[in-house]
Amino acid sequence: MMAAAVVRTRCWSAVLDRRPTGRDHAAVRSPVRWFVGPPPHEVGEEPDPRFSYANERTFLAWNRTALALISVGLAVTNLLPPFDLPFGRRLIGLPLIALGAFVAVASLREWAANQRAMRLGQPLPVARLPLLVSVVIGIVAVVALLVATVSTS
Amino acid sequence: MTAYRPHPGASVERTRLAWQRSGLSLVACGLLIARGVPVDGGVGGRPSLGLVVLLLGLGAWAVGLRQERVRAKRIGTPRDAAVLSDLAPVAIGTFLIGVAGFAVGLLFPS
Repeated sequence: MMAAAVVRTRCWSAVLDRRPTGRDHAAVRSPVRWFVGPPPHEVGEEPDPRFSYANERTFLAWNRTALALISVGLAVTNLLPPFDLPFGRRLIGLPLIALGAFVAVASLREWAANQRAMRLGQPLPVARLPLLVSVVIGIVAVVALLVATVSTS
Repeated sequence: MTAYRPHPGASVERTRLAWQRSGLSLVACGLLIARGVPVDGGVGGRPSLGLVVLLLGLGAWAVGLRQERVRAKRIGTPRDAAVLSDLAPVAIGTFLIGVAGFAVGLLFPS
């Protein structure tokens, strides 16, 4: 059981981290590389480990934000009583779920970009996720206000 | 000659706690979906979907604990930091939960 888990972990690592195994995993690797870029450990030198750990925690914090968005979206679409307006709950909930799904993968891209910059001794790239999340949540809040107002009038 | 590498200190522990919070978030998300919240005296939940998310949360928790142990042995070497394959499963798993949630919210709003 444990041996099987270790083998699976090594295979996964071979696909994404380009560890030599003698097999070509381009079909799986290509989409990930297209979205995330080259694996960070392929460039530069390992920075101060405290910076790497901080970058990893930032990724995990974004991942929890994604989960919170998905949870709230699901709660709105499935647990709120329906509004008088058709599709009212979906207008509010679905954009939040979609944003959560996007944030989940975009945070991996940001982690990789930050890690590459640190390994190359370059300034950290400008983070775009905070602006995107703020704008989408602001728009959803306005839509929710309109739906609630129309529904109760 | 090996280059000097500062000891990561408490950042290892903070990172382990962050993994545990992420696991707990998934478990809480699963419980919410499985049991729902009381609405007009009734409870609207989706037990099967919630169970899947809950199991993913426990899996993420276990992965975080395992990685912390593996990395503890590598402290002071250039391989103690996370690589892409450590984090990609979490990101892809959360993305798939989002896609499943979108489909449920779009097609089966209760």
